[in-house]
Order: sequence, then structure tokens, then C-alpha cells
Amino acid sequence: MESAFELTDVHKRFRLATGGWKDALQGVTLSIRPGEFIAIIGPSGAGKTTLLRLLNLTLRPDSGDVRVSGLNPAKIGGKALRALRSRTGTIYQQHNLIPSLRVVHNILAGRLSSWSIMKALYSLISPRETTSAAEAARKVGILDKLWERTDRLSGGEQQRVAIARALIQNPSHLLADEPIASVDPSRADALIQLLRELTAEDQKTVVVNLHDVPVALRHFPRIIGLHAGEVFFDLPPEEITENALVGLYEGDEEIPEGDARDWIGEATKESLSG
Amino acid sequence: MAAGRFVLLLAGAAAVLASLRFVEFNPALLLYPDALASMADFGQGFFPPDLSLDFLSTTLRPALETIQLATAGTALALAFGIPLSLMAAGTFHLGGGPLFEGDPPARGMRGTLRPAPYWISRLALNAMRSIPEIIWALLFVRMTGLGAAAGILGIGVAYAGIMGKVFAEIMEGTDMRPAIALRAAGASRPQAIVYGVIPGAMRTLLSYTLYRWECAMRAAAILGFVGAGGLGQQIEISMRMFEHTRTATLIIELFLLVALADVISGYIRRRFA
Repeated sequence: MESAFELTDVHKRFRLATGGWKDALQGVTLSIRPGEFIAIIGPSGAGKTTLLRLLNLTLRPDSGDVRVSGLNPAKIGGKALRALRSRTGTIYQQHNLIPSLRVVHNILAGRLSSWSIMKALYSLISPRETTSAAEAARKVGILDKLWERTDRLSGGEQQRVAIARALIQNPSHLLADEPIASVDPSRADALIQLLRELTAEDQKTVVVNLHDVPVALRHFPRIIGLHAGEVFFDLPPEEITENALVGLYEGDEEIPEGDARDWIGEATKESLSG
Repeated sequence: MAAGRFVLLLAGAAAVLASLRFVEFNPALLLYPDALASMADFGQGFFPPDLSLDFLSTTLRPALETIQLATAGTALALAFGIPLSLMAAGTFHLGGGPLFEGDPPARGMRGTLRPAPYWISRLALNAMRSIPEIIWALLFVRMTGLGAAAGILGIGVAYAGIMGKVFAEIMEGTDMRPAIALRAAGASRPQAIVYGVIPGAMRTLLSYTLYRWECAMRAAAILGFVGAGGLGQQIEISMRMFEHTRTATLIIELFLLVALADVISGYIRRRFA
């Protein structure tokens, strides 16, 4: 069976504002099968967001190969590239919605790849395909907000709009960048559960960037640890040792207090017992 | 850093003083007894403003003309300025711009021509903007003859130059992340601009258009001096005839028009933005 995503020795670097370069990814090789449910963890700056942007084809690798559903985006362009992109839905950490538009338009924006520019313009005046927008809104529980201005919604509601926008694409693959960073900690598990339910039926591939290790260990059958732009481990949760986690977060300044080992130890114990 | 800023400030102040000296600007001139006396004479001539019904009724039509001139001119400026601004926003066209991220680089002729709309529109906007509306109007008078048409075209062209540039900069300054998200979902570049950039910039665009409409009201008055009709033309005639009391009335009307424009645009801003 064809891979959902296939990365071969992918390198990506960025020019820093201060001059010099930051190596975001250095030689990543990964194979993700259709229908997998994967968490990517690692300290901030490990390259998680860069990896997601390579997968949704808004970045190109400096070297190496990225393939989505067996196709090489570097070899296609125009309409074919747009069609390939439309098969992957992305939920962003900041949602990246258009605040001044109504919810219905933000959801329908997920349909743009199959609309002409005229239909897109007309829809802004008189929304098209409102039934499918309503259906997507209902699935994420914001049907009653469909006609409100998006910036009047709470952060959690806006995230649901972002999820609905990705769903209405009817994508084969769903990517999410730190989706629980913007919700109340007590809602984190429920959100991952929601993503699972929404994608289980037609077996969408799901790749989620997470900073919360216990949540990753609780919900994901495959966890990829990124460290300094390299794959540090790629394991099912039961095979991830405390030492592996300590190594992954080595030198990370974001760990709140105490020794890294304590923090991860506590977190792991909690999740394995819970 | 602080020292650098201080030097810059000093240099700026020096440049202003040098300019004032160069154009022989002397504020003390305003306080010379002769100047004050002649100013007082001139000022007295304006009182009382001519508020007779006969005269007021003849100014109604010119006042309407001024509004029409400003509104039609602004509409024309929008018609030219919007497409030009879409071409002139660098973030939409220049290689490596946020809307191209992830696209294969355009090679050959396509790659060379990609920034062409940007440079062509910038050149056109600069040319339109650097010539003031009154000079445009004087040029158009040759084509259309004296009257409102030359004034409308004059405002239209000069303001399209200004609005096109400012619109482009407003859109360049708008958050591009929603547009990039739409590109990631398979939207085309024009779609990403229409959905992801313009709605976010709309409030500022509308606000600036209304401000320009107010400016056009004043510009329309000046254009009257070169025969484009409206209150400006009446002011010019009354001054030439030394009918200062009428000039005073007309100036008050112009003030009221600009104030009215301010009220109307304030209302529109609150209602739609």
C-alpha cells in the first residue's frame, strides 16, 4: 500500500533575522501509512512545525524527498499541486482563521480548491453549499455559531471552526499543530478524542504535534520524538523509556522547574497509571 | 542606538530650519502694523456673510456639484486604484512571497515575468500620484472642455495613484497566515487573496477611502478655480468681483460640506467596519 507521507533524508534550514542559519530539519526519514494516528513530540525548536509545513506542502525541502500519497510535489505544479494539497487538512496552533468573516465563510474556505474564483467571490455575498458547512459545524458542535462573526467566538469555539474548515475538505490526511496548547488543560483529552472520532470512520491519517508528553503517551499508538531536527525515536508508547524522554528534552529551557528527569518521570508515571 | 537617534533628530531639525530660511519664511511679517491693518480691513469685508435667501438659493446647485465631483472622482479612483493596488502589493507577487511558499519555483519566462505586474503598477502609481489633481484637471480640460468632467478625471487619476499605493501597503501589512492556510488547503493565489487577505484589511481600506472622499471634497473646491464648477468656482467669481460677504458665505458652506462628509463617513465606519 502507498504511504500517506514519505520523507527521505529531508533537510530544511532558515535564515535567521540576526544573520546566520538555523537548521530546522537535518536528515529526516519517515514513512507514515494511511490511517495512522501519530503524535510528534520534542522540545520547542526541534522542528515539529517545520515538519508539519513540509507535510502540508507549504514549505519545500532544501534537499531530500517529500511524497504525499505517492506523489512528488516538486514534480507537479498548478492544478495538480492544489489538488494534492486539498487532500491534507491542517489545524494551526493560532487557528489562522479570518476573524472578520462569518463562521460559515471560514468553514467554506476549506472548499476553495474545488471552486472557481467567481464562485468564491459569489459565495462571499451569498454563501454557497451551506448544507455541507452546517454539517461540518454540527460535527464539531458549533452549529449554533454558523452565522456569527468568527472574532466574536471564544478561543475554543474558534478552534472548532478551524477543525470544521479542515473537515469540509474531506481530506485523506489531517495535521494538527499543538492543538491542545490553546484549550483548557482539562479539555485536552477530550480534544484528542474528538480528533480521533472525526477521523476514525474513513480512516484518515492523523499527525499531531504535541508538547504534552502524557497526553501523547495516553492516546497515540505511534510517537515520533524530534530533537534538534532529527528523529530521536519512533516508537509505540509502551517502548518509550524514561531515559529516552530525558534525552529528547535534553537542554530544553522550557521545562518549568527542577531536573528534566523529575518532570518527565512524574509525567510518565501519571500517564501510565492513569 | 540612543545617540544615533539623537543625531537623526538634530539633523531633521536642522533641515527644517534651513528650509524655512531658504524660502524666506518670516513669521514676524504677520505682526507688522501694516500687515495687521490690511488684514483687518480684508477681514472686515467678509462681515456680515451674505445670508439672503436669494443668494443662498443660487449656491445650492454649486454645493451639490462639489459633492458630486468629489464622489464621482473617488469612485473613479477606486475603479483604477483597486486593481493597481492588487498588482502593487509585493507580498502577492514577488518571488519567495508568502503566497508562493511550497510552490515549485517558476522557471524561464514565467519566472522572469512574475514580478512584472509589481514593477509596472508601481511605476504607473508613482506617475499618477506625483502630478497633483489640479494639473491633471488642466490637462483633461483640453480633452473634455471646461466643466465637471475634467475635475472628476483629475481627482480620479491623482487619487487612484494615492489610493493604489496606500491600499497596496495596507494589504502588505495584513496578517498573511490565514491566506497561507488557504493555500495549504488547495486554494489558488487569487482565492487566497480574496478570502484570506482582503477581509482582514477591509476595515482599514474602507476607513482610508472615506478619508480620501473628505479630501476630495476640498480638492473639488480647488478644482472649481480652474473651471470645474461647484463651490470653488463660485468662490473664485465672488472674490474676483470683490463680493467678500458672498465669499464668506461660500467658505462657510464649504466648511459645512467637509464637516458633513466627516459625519457621514463616521456613520459608515461605525455601521460597516
